[in-house]
Amino acid sequence: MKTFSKVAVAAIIGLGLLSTTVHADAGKGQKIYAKKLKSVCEKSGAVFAASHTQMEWEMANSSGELGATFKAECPAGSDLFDSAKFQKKMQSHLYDFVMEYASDSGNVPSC
Amino acid sequence: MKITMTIAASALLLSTTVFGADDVQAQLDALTAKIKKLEKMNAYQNKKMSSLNAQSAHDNIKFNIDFRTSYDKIDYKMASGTKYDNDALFSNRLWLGMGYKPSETMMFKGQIAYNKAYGASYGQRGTGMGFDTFDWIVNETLGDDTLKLREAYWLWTPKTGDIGWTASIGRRPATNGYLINLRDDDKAKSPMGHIINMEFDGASGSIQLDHYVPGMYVKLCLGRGLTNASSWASQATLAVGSPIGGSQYPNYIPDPGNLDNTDMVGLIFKPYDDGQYSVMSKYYRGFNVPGLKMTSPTTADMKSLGDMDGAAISAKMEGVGDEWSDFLDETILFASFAWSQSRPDGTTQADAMLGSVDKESGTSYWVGTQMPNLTGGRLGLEYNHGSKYWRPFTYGEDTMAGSKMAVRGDAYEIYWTQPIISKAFSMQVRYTYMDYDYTGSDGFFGDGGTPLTLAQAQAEGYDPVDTASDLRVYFRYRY
Repeated sequence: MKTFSKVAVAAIIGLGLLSTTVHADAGKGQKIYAKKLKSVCEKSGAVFAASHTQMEWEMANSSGELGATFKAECPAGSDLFDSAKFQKKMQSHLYDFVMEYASDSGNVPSC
Repeated sequence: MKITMTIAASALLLSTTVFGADDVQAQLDALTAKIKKLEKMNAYQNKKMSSLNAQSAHDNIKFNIDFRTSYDKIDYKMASGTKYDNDALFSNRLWLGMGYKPSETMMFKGQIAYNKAYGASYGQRGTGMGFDTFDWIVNETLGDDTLKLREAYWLWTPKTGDIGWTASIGRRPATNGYLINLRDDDKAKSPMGHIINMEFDGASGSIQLDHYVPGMYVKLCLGRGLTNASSWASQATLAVGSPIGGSQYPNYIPDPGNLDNTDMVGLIFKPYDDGQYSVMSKYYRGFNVPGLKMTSPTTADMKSLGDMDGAAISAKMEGVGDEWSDFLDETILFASFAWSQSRPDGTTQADAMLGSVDKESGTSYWVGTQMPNLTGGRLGLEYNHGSKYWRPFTYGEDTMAGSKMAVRGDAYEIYWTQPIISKAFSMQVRYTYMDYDYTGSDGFFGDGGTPLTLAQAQAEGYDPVDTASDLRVYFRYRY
Protein backbone atom coordinates (compact mmCIF):
# COMPACT_ATOMS: atom_id res chain seq x y z
CA MET A 1 0.00 0.00 0.00
CA LYS A 2 1.35 3.42 -0.91
CA THR A 3 2.75 5.61 1.86
CA PHE A 4 -0.04 8.13 1.32
CA SER A 5 -2.62 5.41 1.77
CA LYS A 6 -0.97 4.18 4.97
CA VAL A 7 -0.97 7.71 6.33
CA ALA A 8 -4.63 8.09 5.36
CA VAL A 9 -5.57 4.91 7.20
CA ALA A 10 -3.59 5.97 10.25
CA ALA A 11 -5.23 9.39 10.16
CA ILE A 12 -8.68 7.87 10.08
CA ILE A 13 -7.92 5.71 13.10
CA GLY A 14 -6.13 8.51 14.91
CA LEU A 15 -8.70 11.21 14.20
CA GLY A 16 -11.34 8.81 15.45
CA LEU A 17 -10.21 9.56 18.99
CA LEU A 18 -11.29 13.21 19.46
CA SER A 19 -14.39 14.30 21.41
CA THR A 20 -17.76 16.00 20.90
CA THR A 21 -21.04 16.13 22.77
CA VAL A 22 -23.75 13.56 22.13
CA HIS A 23 -27.17 14.87 21.11
CA ALA A 24 -30.56 13.25 21.70
CA ASP A 25 -31.43 11.23 18.64
CA ALA A 26 -34.79 9.93 17.41
CA GLY A 27 -33.00 7.15 15.57
CA LYS A 28 -31.38 6.00 18.82
CA GLY A 29 -34.76 6.28 20.48
CA GLN A 30 -36.24 4.03 17.84
CA LYS A 31 -33.52 1.45 18.45
CA ILE A 32 -34.01 1.67 22.22
CA TYR A 33 -37.70 1.00 21.75
CA ALA A 34 -37.09 -1.89 19.37
CA LYS A 35 -34.53 -3.53 21.67
CA LYS A 36 -35.90 -2.88 25.10
CA LEU A 37 -39.61 -2.16 24.86
CA LYS A 38 -41.31 -3.54 21.79
CA SER A 39 -41.71 -7.05 23.17
CA VAL A 40 -42.75 -5.98 26.69
CA CYS A 41 -45.10 -3.23 25.52
CA GLU A 42 -46.55 -5.52 22.84
CA LYS A 43 -46.98 -2.66 20.40
CA SER A 44 -44.86 -1.16 17.68
CA GLY A 45 -42.84 1.98 18.23
CA ALA A 46 -45.12 3.82 15.84
CA VAL A 47 -48.18 2.94 17.93
CA PHE A 48 -46.40 3.86 21.14
CA ALA A 49 -45.32 7.24 19.80
CA ALA A 50 -48.70 7.98 18.28
CA SER A 51 -50.47 7.48 21.61
CA HIS A 52 -50.06 11.22 22.22
CA THR A 53 -49.81 14.42 20.28
CA GLN A 54 -46.59 16.38 20.13
CA MET A 55 -48.01 18.93 22.59
CA GLU A 56 -48.93 16.22 25.05
CA TRP A 57 -45.48 14.67 24.92
CA GLU A 58 -43.89 18.10 25.23
CA MET A 59 -46.05 19.04 28.22
CA ALA A 60 -45.28 15.75 29.91
CA ASN A 61 -41.56 16.34 29.40
CA SER A 62 -41.57 19.94 30.61
CA SER A 63 -43.63 19.11 33.71
CA GLY A 64 -41.40 16.20 34.69
CA GLU A 65 -44.17 13.70 33.92
CA LEU A 66 -42.50 12.02 30.93
CA GLY A 67 -41.62 8.86 32.83
CA ALA A 68 -45.13 8.57 34.18
CA THR A 69 -46.55 9.05 30.67
CA PHE A 70 -44.27 6.33 29.33
CA LYS A 71 -45.41 4.04 32.11
CA ALA A 72 -49.07 4.78 31.42
CA GLU A 73 -48.60 3.70 27.79
CA CYS A 74 -46.52 0.69 28.70
CA PRO A 75 -46.97 -0.48 32.31
CA ALA A 76 -44.86 -3.56 31.62
CA GLY A 77 -41.88 -1.30 30.93
CA SER A 78 -42.05 0.39 34.35
CA ASP A 79 -38.89 -1.25 35.66
CA LEU A 80 -36.93 0.10 32.74
CA PHE A 81 -38.49 3.55 32.88
CA ASP A 82 -37.70 3.79 36.63
CA SER A 83 -34.08 2.70 36.23
CA ALA A 84 -31.31 5.24 36.65
CA LYS A 85 -29.69 4.04 33.43
CA PHE A 86 -32.81 4.73 31.40
CA GLN A 87 -33.32 8.17 32.87
CA LYS A 88 -29.70 9.11 32.37
CA LYS A 89 -28.95 7.58 28.99
CA MET A 90 -32.08 6.62 27.13
CA GLN A 91 -34.98 8.89 28.11
CA SER A 92 -33.91 11.86 25.98
CA HIS A 93 -33.54 9.65 22.89
CA LEU A 94 -36.91 7.99 23.45
CA TYR A 95 -38.47 11.43 23.90
CA ASP A 96 -37.00 12.54 20.58
CA PHE A 97 -38.45 9.44 18.98
CA VAL A 98 -41.98 9.89 20.34
CA MET A 99 -41.94 13.57 19.33
CA GLU A 100 -40.86 12.59 15.82
CA TYR A 101 -43.72 10.12 15.41
CA ALA A 102 -46.42 11.59 17.65
CA SER A 103 -49.97 11.32 16.34
CA ASP A 104 -49.93 14.80 14.82
CA SER A 105 -46.29 15.09 13.80
CA GLY A 106 -47.16 14.52 10.15
CA ASN A 107 -43.82 12.80 9.68
CA VAL A 108 -43.79 10.12 7.08
CA PRO A 109 -42.08 7.03 8.50
CA SER A 110 -39.18 5.50 6.67
CA CYS A 111 -39.96 2.30 4.83
CA MET B 1 -76.96 45.31 79.43
CA LYS B 2 -73.80 43.34 79.35
CA ILE B 3 -75.71 40.20 78.43
CA THR B 4 -77.65 42.09 75.79
CA MET B 5 -74.47 43.51 74.35
CA THR B 6 -72.89 40.10 74.40
CA ILE B 7 -75.90 38.55 72.72
CA ALA B 8 -75.97 41.38 70.17
CA ALA B 9 -72.25 41.06 69.51
CA SER B 10 -72.53 37.32 69.13
CA ALA B 11 -75.42 37.71 66.74
CA LEU B 12 -73.45 40.23 64.72
CA LEU B 13 -70.37 38.02 64.68
CA LEU B 14 -72.39 35.02 63.70
CA SER B 15 -74.17 36.86 60.92
CA THR B 16 -70.83 38.19 59.64
CA THR B 17 -69.32 34.72 59.65
CA VAL B 18 -72.31 33.25 57.89
CA PHE B 19 -72.38 36.11 55.43
CA GLY B 20 -68.48 35.71 54.79
CA ALA B 21 -68.72 31.94 54.33
CA ASP B 22 -71.52 32.41 51.82
CA ASP B 23 -69.45 34.97 49.97
CA VAL B 24 -66.38 32.74 49.92
CA GLN B 25 -68.45 29.76 48.82
CA ALA B 26 -70.00 31.82 46.04
CA GLN B 27 -66.59 32.90 44.93
CA LEU B 28 -65.33 29.34 45.10
CA ASP B 29 -68.30 28.14 43.07
CA ALA B 30 -67.69 30.87 40.52
CA LEU B 31 -64.01 30.01 40.34
CA THR B 32 -64.76 26.32 39.97
CA ALA B 33 -67.17 27.06 37.16
CA LYS B 34 -64.57 29.27 35.48
CA ILE B 35 -61.91 26.58 35.82
CA LYS B 36 -64.23 23.99 34.33
CA LYS B 37 -64.99 26.35 31.47
CA LEU B 38 -61.28 27.06 30.92
CA GLU B 39 -60.46 23.36 30.99
CA LYS B 40 -63.11 22.74 28.39
CA MET B 41 -61.78 25.55 26.21
CA ASN B 42 -58.25 24.29 26.64
CA ALA B 43 -59.19 20.77 25.65
CA TYR B 44 -61.07 22.11 22.62
CA GLN B 45 -58.13 24.30 21.59
CA ASN B 46 -55.66 21.45 22.03
CA LYS B 47 -57.83 19.28 19.85
CA LYS B 48 -58.14 22.01 17.25
CA MET B 49 -54.40 22.70 17.23
CA SER B 50 -53.62 19.04 17.00
CA SER B 51 -55.95 18.55 14.06
CA LEU B 52 -54.55 21.71 12.41
CA ASN B 53 -51.05 20.41 13.01
CA ALA B 54 -51.84 17.05 11.51
CA GLN B 55 -53.87 18.53 8.70
CA SER B 56 -51.24 21.02 7.59
CA ALA B 57 -48.56 18.39 8.00
CA HIS B 58 -50.52 15.80 6.04
CA ASP B 59 -51.83 18.07 3.33
CA ASN B 60 -48.42 19.02 2.06
CA ILE B 61 -45.61 17.04 0.57
CA LYS B 62 -42.82 17.04 3.12
CA PHE B 63 -39.41 17.61 1.60
CA ASN B 64 -36.07 16.69 3.03
CA ILE B 65 -32.64 17.68 1.83
CA ASP B 66 -29.50 15.59 1.67
CA PHE B 67 -26.67 17.57 0.10
CA ARG B 68 -23.19 16.14 0.02
CA THR B 69 -19.89 17.53 -1.22
CA SER B 70 -17.15 14.97 -1.73
CA TYR B 71 -13.48 14.87 -2.45
CA ASP B 72 -12.16 11.62 -3.90
CA LYS B 73 -8.61 10.49 -4.53
CA ILE B 74 -8.76 7.47 -6.82
CA ASP B 75 -5.81 5.27 -7.69
CA TYR B 76 -5.56 2.32 -10.07
CA LYS B 77 -2.59 0.04 -10.51
CA MET B 78 -2.76 -2.06 -13.65
CA ALA B 79 -1.39 -5.56 -14.12
CA SER B 80 1.49 -4.10 -16.15
CA GLY B 81 2.47 -1.84 -13.26
CA THR B 82 1.10 1.26 -14.95
CA LYS B 83 -0.62 3.58 -12.50
CA TYR B 84 -3.50 5.96 -13.01
CA ASP B 85 -4.81 8.38 -10.44
CA ASN B 86 -7.13 11.28 -9.96
CA ASP B 87 -6.05 13.12 -6.84
CA ALA B 88 -8.58 15.96 -6.99
CA LEU B 89 -12.05 14.75 -7.90
CA PHE B 90 -14.65 17.04 -6.34
CA SER B 91 -18.35 16.38 -6.69
CA ASN B 92 -21.73 17.47 -5.36
CA ARG B 93 -24.69 15.18 -4.79
CA LEU B 94 -28.22 16.32 -3.97
CA TRP B 95 -31.06 14.06 -2.83
CA LEU B 96 -34.36 15.90 -2.57
CA GLY B 97 -36.64 13.55 -0.68
CA MET B 98 -40.43 13.75 -0.72
CA GLY B 99 -43.06 12.17 1.46
CA TYR B 100 -46.79 12.46 1.73
CA LYS B 101 -49.10 10.46 4.00
CA PRO B 102 -52.76 11.19 3.22
CA SER B 103 -53.99 8.43 5.53
CA GLU B 104 -52.74 6.03 8.17
CA THR B 105 -52.27 3.19 5.67
CA MET B 106 -51.16 4.94 2.51
CA MET B 107 -48.06 6.99 1.84
CA PHE B 108 -46.03 8.25 -1.09
CA LYS B 109 -42.27 8.54 -1.03
CA GLY B 110 -39.96 9.88 -3.68
CA GLN B 111 -36.53 11.22 -4.29
CA ILE B 112 -35.07 13.31 -7.07
CA ALA B 113 -31.35 13.63 -7.35
CA TYR B 114 -28.33 14.92 -9.12
CA ASN B 115 -24.70 13.87 -8.81
CA LYS B 116 -22.05 15.85 -10.64
CA ALA B 117 -18.35 16.55 -10.68
CA TYR B 118 -17.46 20.18 -10.26
CA GLY B 119 -17.71 22.30 -13.37
CA ALA B 120 -18.30 21.26 -16.94
CA SER B 121 -17.78 17.97 -18.71
CA TYR B 122 -16.36 18.33 -22.19
CA GLY B 123 -17.93 15.34 -23.90
CA GLN B 124 -17.03 12.96 -21.04
CA ARG B 125 -19.70 12.45 -18.44
CA GLY B 126 -23.48 12.44 -18.66
CA THR B 127 -23.53 12.60 -22.46
CA GLY B 128 -26.41 10.13 -22.66
CA MET B 129 -24.36 7.97 -25.03
CA GLY B 130 -22.38 6.01 -22.48
CA PHE B 131 -23.05 3.37 -19.84
CA ASP B 132 -22.65 6.04 -17.16
CA THR B 133 -26.25 7.05 -17.84
CA PHE B 134 -27.60 3.49 -17.75
CA ASP B 135 -30.83 3.49 -15.77
CA TRP B 136 -29.48 1.18 -13.06
CA ILE B 137 -26.90 3.73 -11.88
CA VAL B 138 -28.03 7.02 -13.39
CA ASN B 139 -27.97 8.83 -10.03
CA GLU B 140 -24.94 7.06 -8.64
CA THR B 141 -22.47 8.07 -11.35
CA LEU B 142 -21.20 11.58 -11.99
CA GLY B 143 -23.50 13.10 -14.60
CA ASP B 144 -24.82 16.51 -15.48
CA ASP B 145 -26.87 19.22 -13.74
CA THR B 146 -30.26 17.72 -14.47
CA LEU B 147 -32.38 16.39 -11.64
CA LYS B 148 -33.46 12.82 -12.22
CA LEU B 149 -35.92 10.55 -10.50
CA ARG B 150 -34.23 8.21 -8.08
CA GLU B 151 -37.25 6.86 -6.21
CA ALA B 152 -41.02 7.29 -6.49
CA TYR B 153 -43.52 4.83 -5.06
CA TRP B 154 -46.67 4.52 -3.10
CA LEU B 155 -46.84 2.19 -0.15
CA TRP B 156 -50.01 0.71 1.27
CA THR B 157 -49.83 -0.80 4.75
CA PRO B 158 -53.15 -2.37 5.71
CA LYS B 159 -53.62 -4.75 8.60
CA THR B 160 -55.75 -7.85 9.00
CA GLY B 161 -56.05 -8.61 12.68
CA ASP B 162 -52.50 -8.99 13.95
CA ILE B 163 -50.99 -9.42 10.50
CA GLY B 164 -49.67 -6.42 8.60
CA TRP B 165 -49.35 -6.29 4.84
CA THR B 166 -47.59 -4.00 2.44
CA ALA B 167 -47.99 -3.38 -1.26
CA SER B 168 -46.00 -0.91 -3.29
CA ILE B 169 -45.42 0.03 -6.92
CA GLY B 170 -43.00 2.49 -8.43
CA ARG B 171 -39.31 3.27 -8.79
CA ARG B 172 -37.99 1.25 -5.94
CA PRO B 173 -35.82 2.18 -2.94
CA ALA B 174 -33.33 -0.39 -4.21
CA THR B 175 -29.98 1.15 -3.32
CA ASN B 176 -28.24 1.39 0.07
CA GLY B 177 -29.83 -1.78 1.40
CA TYR B 178 -29.19 -3.92 4.46
CA LEU B 179 -25.62 -3.69 5.74
CA ILE B 180 -24.19 -1.59 2.87
CA ASN B 181 -26.08 1.35 4.40
CA LEU B 182 -23.76 1.38 7.43
CA ARG B 183 -20.71 2.69 5.61
CA ASP B 184 -22.87 5.30 3.86
CA ASP B 185 -24.47 6.47 7.12
CA ASP B 186 -27.94 5.92 5.67
CA LYS B 187 -31.01 4.06 6.88
CA ALA B 188 -31.20 0.67 5.21
CA LYS B 189 -33.49 0.48 2.22
CA SER B 190 -35.25 -2.59 0.94
CA PRO B 191 -32.74 -4.98 -0.65
CA MET B 192 -29.76 -6.84 0.78
CA GLY B 193 -26.71 -4.74 0.00
CA HIS B 194 -24.48 -7.77 -0.51
CA ILE B 195 -26.30 -8.73 -3.73
CA ILE B 196 -28.58 -5.91 -4.93
CA ASN B 197 -27.68 -2.23 -5.06
CA MET B 198 -29.06 -0.50 -8.13
CA GLU B 199 -32.05 1.52 -9.26
CA PHE B 200 -34.99 -0.18 -10.94
CA ASP B 201 -38.72 0.09 -11.36
CA GLY B 202 -41.10 -2.49 -10.03
CA ALA B 203 -43.29 -3.57 -7.18
CA SER B 204 -43.20 -5.34 -3.86
CA GLY B 205 -45.60 -6.95 -1.45
CA SER B 206 -44.95 -8.28 1.99
CA ILE B 207 -46.60 -9.98 4.91
CA GLN B 208 -45.50 -8.90 8.37
CA LEU B 209 -45.40 -11.76 10.82
CA ASP B 210 -43.76 -10.02 13.77
CA HIS B 211 -46.77 -10.68 15.92
CA TYR B 212 -45.58 -14.31 15.95
CA VAL B 213 -41.80 -13.98 15.71
CA PRO B 214 -40.00 -10.67 16.39
CA GLY B 215 -39.27 -8.83 13.15
CA MET B 216 -40.33 -11.65 10.84
CA TYR B 217 -41.59 -10.82 7.37
CA VAL B 218 -41.66 -12.22 3.85
CA LYS B 219 -41.44 -9.87 0.89
CA LEU B 220 -41.82 -10.54 -2.82
CA CYS B 221 -40.02 -8.03 -5.06
CA LEU B 222 -40.56 -7.66 -8.79
CA GLY B 223 -38.60 -5.40 -11.05
CA ARG B 224 -38.09 -4.55 -14.67
CA GLY B 225 -34.54 -3.41 -15.25
CA LEU B 226 -34.89 -2.89 -18.98
CA THR B 227 -37.86 -2.35 -21.29
CA ASN B 228 -37.69 -3.18 -25.01
CA ALA B 229 -40.02 -0.67 -26.66
CA SER B 230 -39.31 1.51 -29.69
CA SER B 231 -39.27 5.22 -29.07
CA TRP B 232 -41.99 7.63 -30.07
CA ALA B 233 -41.71 8.34 -33.82
CA SER B 234 -39.04 5.65 -34.05
CA GLN B 235 -39.68 5.05 -37.76
CA ALA B 236 -39.13 8.73 -38.54
CA THR B 237 -35.97 8.70 -36.43
CA LEU B 238 -34.71 5.78 -38.52
CA ALA B 239 -35.73 7.46 -41.73
CA VAL B 240 -33.63 10.58 -41.08
CA GLY B 241 -30.58 8.43 -40.40
CA SER B 242 -30.20 9.06 -36.70
CA PRO B 243 -27.39 6.83 -35.33
CA ILE B 244 -29.51 5.84 -32.34
CA GLY B 245 -33.15 5.64 -31.34
CA GLY B 246 -34.64 4.65 -34.70
CA SER B 247 -36.61 1.48 -35.40
CA GLN B 248 -38.75 0.05 -38.17
CA TYR B 249 -41.43 -0.68 -35.61
CA PRO B 250 -44.21 1.72 -34.56
CA ASN B 251 -44.16 3.70 -31.31
CA TYR B 252 -43.39 1.63 -28.22
CA ILE B 253 -43.45 -1.77 -29.94
CA PRO B 254 -40.69 -4.24 -28.93
CA ASP B 255 -37.84 -4.45 -31.44
CA PRO B 256 -36.62 -8.06 -31.79
CA GLY B 257 -33.21 -6.72 -32.77
CA ASN B 258 -32.79 -4.99 -29.42
CA LEU B 259 -32.24 -6.36 -25.91
CA ASP B 260 -35.08 -8.38 -24.34
CA ASN B 261 -36.95 -7.06 -21.32
CA THR B 262 -34.79 -7.66 -18.26
CA ASP B 263 -36.89 -8.68 -15.30
CA MET B 264 -36.08 -9.63 -11.75
CA VAL B 265 -38.02 -11.48 -9.11
CA GLY B 266 -36.77 -11.78 -5.58
CA LEU B 267 -37.97 -13.18 -2.30
CA ILE B 268 -36.76 -11.61 0.93
CA PHE B 269 -37.27 -13.51 4.16
CA LYS B 270 -36.41 -11.94 7.47
CA PRO B 271 -36.74 -14.73 10.01
CA TYR B 272 -35.83 -12.67 13.07
CA ASP B 273 -35.17 -9.14 14.27
CA ASP B 274 -35.53 -8.21 17.93
CA GLY B 275 -33.79 -4.86 17.58
CA GLN B 276 -30.43 -6.32 18.63
CA TYR B 277 -30.06 -9.57 16.69
CA SER B 278 -31.30 -9.75 13.11
CA VAL B 279 -31.03 -12.21 10.25
CA MET B 280 -32.04 -11.54 6.67
CA SER B 281 -32.05 -13.72 3.58
CA LYS B 282 -32.90 -13.31 -0.08
CA TYR B 283 -33.14 -15.29 -3.28
CA TYR B 284 -33.54 -13.69 -6.68
CA ARG B 285 -33.49 -14.47 -10.37
CA GLY B 286 -32.71 -11.92 -13.06
CA PHE B 287 -34.20 -12.81 -16.45
CA ASN B 288 -32.61 -11.92 -19.83
CA VAL B 289 -29.63 -10.13 -18.34
CA PRO B 290 -27.53 -8.26 -20.91
CA GLY B 291 -23.82 -8.37 -21.63
CA LEU B 292 -21.16 -7.29 -24.08
CA LYS B 293 -20.23 -9.75 -26.81
CA MET B 294 -16.98 -8.93 -28.56
CA THR B 295 -17.37 -8.69 -32.33
CA SER B 296 -13.69 -7.85 -32.78
CA PRO B 297 -10.75 -7.20 -30.39
CA THR B 298 -11.95 -3.60 -30.02
CA THR B 299 -15.71 -3.63 -30.72
CA ALA B 300 -18.67 -5.22 -29.00
CA ASP B 301 -22.44 -5.52 -29.15
CA MET B 302 -24.88 -5.76 -26.27
CA LYS B 303 -26.91 -8.95 -26.20
CA SER B 304 -29.45 -10.64 -23.91
CA LEU B 305 -27.66 -13.74 -22.71
CA GLY B 306 -29.61 -15.64 -20.09
CA ASP B 307 -30.63 -15.57 -16.46
CA MET B 308 -28.71 -14.86 -13.28
CA ASP B 309 -29.55 -16.33 -9.89
CA GLY B 310 -28.36 -15.08 -6.55
CA ALA B 311 -28.91 -15.52 -2.86
CA ALA B 312 -27.54 -14.22 0.41
CA ILE B 313 -27.90 -14.64 4.14
CA SER B 314 -26.77 -11.83 6.42
CA ALA B 315 -26.73 -11.41 10.18
CA LYS B 316 -26.23 -8.34 12.29
CA MET B 317 -25.75 -7.73 16.00
CA GLU B 318 -26.57 -4.18 17.12
CA GLY B 319 -25.04 -4.04 20.55
CA VAL B 320 -22.75 -6.76 21.86
CA GLY B 321 -24.08 -8.45 24.99
CA ASP B 322 -26.70 -6.95 27.28
CA GLU B 323 -25.47 -3.67 28.79
CA TRP B 324 -21.95 -5.01 29.38
CA SER B 325 -20.60 -1.55 28.59
CA ASP B 326 -21.66 1.59 26.77
CA PHE B 327 -19.05 0.90 24.09
CA LEU B 328 -20.34 -2.60 23.38
CA ASP B 329 -23.97 -1.44 23.55
CA GLU B 330 -23.26 0.84 20.59
CA THR B 331 -21.07 -1.59 18.61
CA ILE B 332 -22.42 -3.33 15.52
CA LEU B 333 -21.02 -6.60 14.18
CA PHE B 334 -22.18 -8.23 10.98
CA ALA B 335 -21.42 -11.11 8.64
CA SER B 336 -22.86 -12.09 5.29
CA PHE B 337 -22.51 -14.91 2.79
CA ALA B 338 -23.75 -14.76 -0.80
CA TRP B 339 -23.88 -16.89 -3.93
CA SER B 340 -24.51 -16.24 -7.60
CA GLN B 341 -25.02 -18.51 -10.61
CA SER B 342 -25.20 -17.78 -14.32
CA ARG B 343 -27.75 -19.60 -16.50
CA PRO B 344 -26.82 -18.98 -20.15
CA ASP B 345 -29.50 -19.40 -22.81
CA GLY B 346 -27.10 -20.42 -25.54
CA THR B 347 -24.69 -23.30 -25.99
CA THR B 348 -22.00 -21.64 -28.07
CA GLN B 349 -19.31 -19.14 -27.17
CA ALA B 350 -21.25 -16.54 -29.12
CA ASP B 351 -23.84 -16.69 -26.35
CA ALA B 352 -21.54 -17.39 -23.38
CA MET B 353 -22.24 -15.71 -20.05
CA LEU B 354 -19.21 -14.62 -18.03
CA GLY B 355 -17.08 -16.36 -20.68
CA SER B 356 -18.74 -19.77 -20.21
CA VAL B 357 -21.61 -21.73 -21.75
CA ASP B 358 -22.03 -23.66 -18.50
CA LYS B 359 -23.80 -22.57 -15.34
CA GLU B 360 -21.05 -20.96 -13.29
CA SER B 361 -21.33 -20.31 -9.55
CA GLY B 362 -19.52 -17.77 -7.45
CA THR B 363 -19.53 -16.93 -3.76
CA SER B 364 -18.69 -14.01 -1.54
CA TYR B 365 -18.35 -13.44 2.17
CA TRP B 366 -18.36 -10.13 4.03
CA VAL B 367 -17.65 -9.17 7.61
CA GLY B 368 -17.59 -5.84 9.34
CA THR B 369 -17.99 -3.81 12.47
CA GLN B 370 -19.03 -0.29 13.32
CA MET B 371 -18.24 1.09 16.73
CA PRO B 372 -18.54 4.37 18.60
CA ASN B 373 -15.46 6.45 19.05
CA LEU B 374 -14.63 9.12 21.58
CA THR B 375 -15.77 11.89 19.26
CA GLY B 376 -19.41 10.84 19.29
CA GLY B 377 -18.88 9.52 15.76
CA ARG B 378 -18.62 6.02 14.34
CA LEU B 379 -15.59 4.05 13.18
CA GLY B 380 -16.16 1.23 10.70
CA LEU B 381 -14.04 -1.64 9.39
CA GLU B 382 -15.15 -4.00 6.62
CA TYR B 383 -13.67 -6.84 4.59
CA ASN B 384 -15.18 -8.86 1.77
CA HIS B 385 -13.92 -11.53 -0.59
CA GLY B 386 -15.39 -12.70 -3.89
CA SER B 387 -14.58 -15.81 -5.91
CA LYS B 388 -13.87 -16.24 -9.60
CA TYR B 389 -17.43 -16.22 -10.95
CA TRP B 390 -18.95 -14.03 -8.24
CA ARG B 391 -21.42 -11.59 -9.79
CA PRO B 392 -23.90 -9.49 -7.81
CA PHE B 393 -26.11 -6.63 -9.00
CA THR B 394 -24.29 -3.93 -7.02
CA TYR B 395 -23.50 -1.45 -9.79
CA GLY B 396 -25.13 1.38 -7.84
CA GLU B 397 -22.87 1.05 -4.83
CA ASP B 398 -21.45 4.36 -3.64
CA THR B 399 -17.78 3.62 -4.38
CA MET B 400 -16.24 5.76 -7.09
CA ALA B 401 -13.52 3.25 -7.97
CA GLY B 402 -16.02 0.43 -8.56
CA SER B 403 -18.31 -1.73 -6.44
CA LYS B 404 -16.31 -3.28 -3.60
CA MET B 405 -19.06 -5.88 -3.06
CA ALA B 406 -18.54 -7.08 -6.64
CA VAL B 407 -14.80 -7.66 -6.16
CA ARG B 408 -13.46 -10.97 -7.41
CA GLY B 409 -10.66 -10.77 -4.92
CA ASP B 410 -10.41 -8.88 -1.65
CA ALA B 411 -11.73 -5.51 -0.53
CA TYR B 412 -10.78 -3.70 2.66
CA GLU B 413 -12.40 -0.60 4.03
CA ILE B 414 -12.09 1.75 6.98
CA TYR B 415 -14.25 4.80 7.60
CA TRP B 416 -14.98 7.41 10.23
CA THR B 417 -18.32 9.18 10.22
CA GLN B 418 -18.60 12.22 12.46
CA PRO B 419 -21.61 14.41 13.23
CA ILE B 420 -20.47 18.03 13.39
CA ILE B 421 -23.60 20.10 13.99
CA SER B 422 -26.35 17.99 15.60
CA LYS B 423 -27.85 15.61 13.04
CA ALA B 424 -27.87 18.15 10.23
CA PHE B 425 -24.19 18.38 9.28
CA SER B 426 -21.65 15.60 9.25
CA MET B 427 -18.43 14.51 7.67
CA GLN B 428 -16.87 11.21 6.68
CA VAL B 429 -13.41 10.03 5.80
CA ARG B 430 -13.34 6.65 4.08
CA TYR B 431 -10.61 4.55 2.52
CA THR B 432 -11.47 1.60 0.30
CA TYR B 433 -8.84 -0.75 -1.16
CA MET B 434 -9.66 -3.44 -3.71
CA ASP B 435 -7.28 -6.18 -4.81
CA TYR B 436 -8.53 -8.06 -7.87
CA ASP B 437 -7.70 -11.73 -8.46
CA TYR B 438 -9.73 -11.89 -11.69
CA THR B 439 -10.99 -9.54 -14.36
CA GLY B 440 -14.62 -8.62 -14.96
CA SER B 441 -15.66 -7.76 -11.40
CA ASP B 442 -17.78 -4.81 -12.34
CA GLY B 443 -18.79 -5.90 -15.84
CA PHE B 444 -22.13 -6.97 -17.21
CA PHE B 445 -22.93 -10.59 -17.96
CA GLY B 446 -21.16 -11.28 -21.24
CA ASP B 447 -17.54 -11.16 -22.30
CA GLY B 448 -16.94 -8.08 -20.14
CA GLY B 449 -17.61 -10.24 -17.11
CA THR B 450 -15.25 -13.06 -18.07
CA PRO B 451 -12.99 -13.92 -15.13
CA LEU B 452 -9.41 -14.17 -16.32
CA THR B 453 -6.45 -14.13 -14.00
CA LEU B 454 -4.37 -11.02 -14.51
CA ALA B 455 -1.69 -13.12 -16.21
CA GLN B 456 -4.25 -14.68 -18.58
CA ALA B 457 -5.63 -11.25 -19.42
CA GLN B 458 -2.17 -9.89 -20.13
CA ALA B 459 -1.42 -12.92 -22.33
CA GLU B 460 -4.48 -11.96 -24.40
CA GLY B 461 -3.20 -8.42 -24.82
CA TYR B 462 -5.19 -6.73 -22.07
CA ASP B 463 -3.91 -4.67 -19.16
CA PRO B 464 -6.53 -5.13 -16.45
CA VAL B 465 -6.80 -3.36 -13.10
CA ASP B 466 -4.76 -5.11 -10.40
CA THR B 467 -5.63 -2.87 -7.43
CA ALA B 468 -7.89 0.15 -6.97
CA SER B 469 -8.30 2.50 -4.04
CA ASP B 470 -10.56 5.39 -3.18
CA LEU B 471 -9.92 7.88 -0.40
CA ARG B 472 -13.03 9.96 0.09
CA VAL B 473 -13.85 12.87 2.35
CA TYR B 474 -17.33 14.29 2.39
CA PHE B 475 -19.31 17.01 4.15
CA ARG B 476 -23.00 16.37 4.24
CA TYR B 477 -26.04 18.45 5.12
CA ARG B 478 -29.30 16.65 5.91
CA TYR B 479 -32.56 18.11 7.02
